[in-house]
Amino acid sequence: MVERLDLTADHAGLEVFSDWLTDLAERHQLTEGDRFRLELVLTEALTNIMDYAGQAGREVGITVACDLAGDDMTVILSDDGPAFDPTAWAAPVLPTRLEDATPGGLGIHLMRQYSLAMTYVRETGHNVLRMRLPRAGEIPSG
Amino acid sequence: MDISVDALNPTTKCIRLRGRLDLKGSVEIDLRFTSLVSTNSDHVLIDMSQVDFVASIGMRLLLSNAKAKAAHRGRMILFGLQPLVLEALTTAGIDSLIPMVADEAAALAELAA
Repeated sequence: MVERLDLTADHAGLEVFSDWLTDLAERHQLTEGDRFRLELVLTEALTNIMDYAGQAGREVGITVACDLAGDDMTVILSDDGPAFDPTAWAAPVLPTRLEDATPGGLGIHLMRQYSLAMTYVRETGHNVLRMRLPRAGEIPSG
Repeated sequence: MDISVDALNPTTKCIRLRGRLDLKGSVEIDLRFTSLVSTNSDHVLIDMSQVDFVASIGMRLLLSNAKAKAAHRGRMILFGLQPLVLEALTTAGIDSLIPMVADEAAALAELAA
């Protein structure tokens, strides 16, 4: 069974999403780790979409779909905002010294690191981002 | 998101955070946290034991304040991180930039080292 949530691309939607995920995690008896990782990855992806939606100059809608029936957790985010492909972003070179660190740019890095696969297509005016996360255990590290 | 502070000694304070370091939580504590951490040369220990979620915006808050602290020649050390929060910060590479230790005693020992 695929669970769905419709949001408008506004940062207030992050709280709606978090409440929805809490309910979903209880019903599907997700482990604490699965719930945390799913929430982190989706929070980063949603935040990016919400940030880019401002360029549209109109209300942008987002649909979150989670398929938790298989061995892995599959999530699909679809939105009608401006084209934005997070998979096209180059992996950051992580600094090793604090003075070299530039805060920011961690969201897509985290999405990649926690996902077994991350794909993007632009179809019929929508961004469609699909990510597959493993259940429990070590994170795949990208 | 709650934030409180204890003076551990004349040059070291401990900031205790409670809640979720997501967008909402980070915005709630940003000004006070930055004011406590970044405006003097005191060392700061951050008690993370009651923080049960962290997103990249929360990591950015920690990182920017650790940088500001270092610029004031002070040190910032995190302790007591819950396993999943530690995993997220490690995955982001922050463990190589900000010291993270098990508890307050270990954080004080790290400062003394």
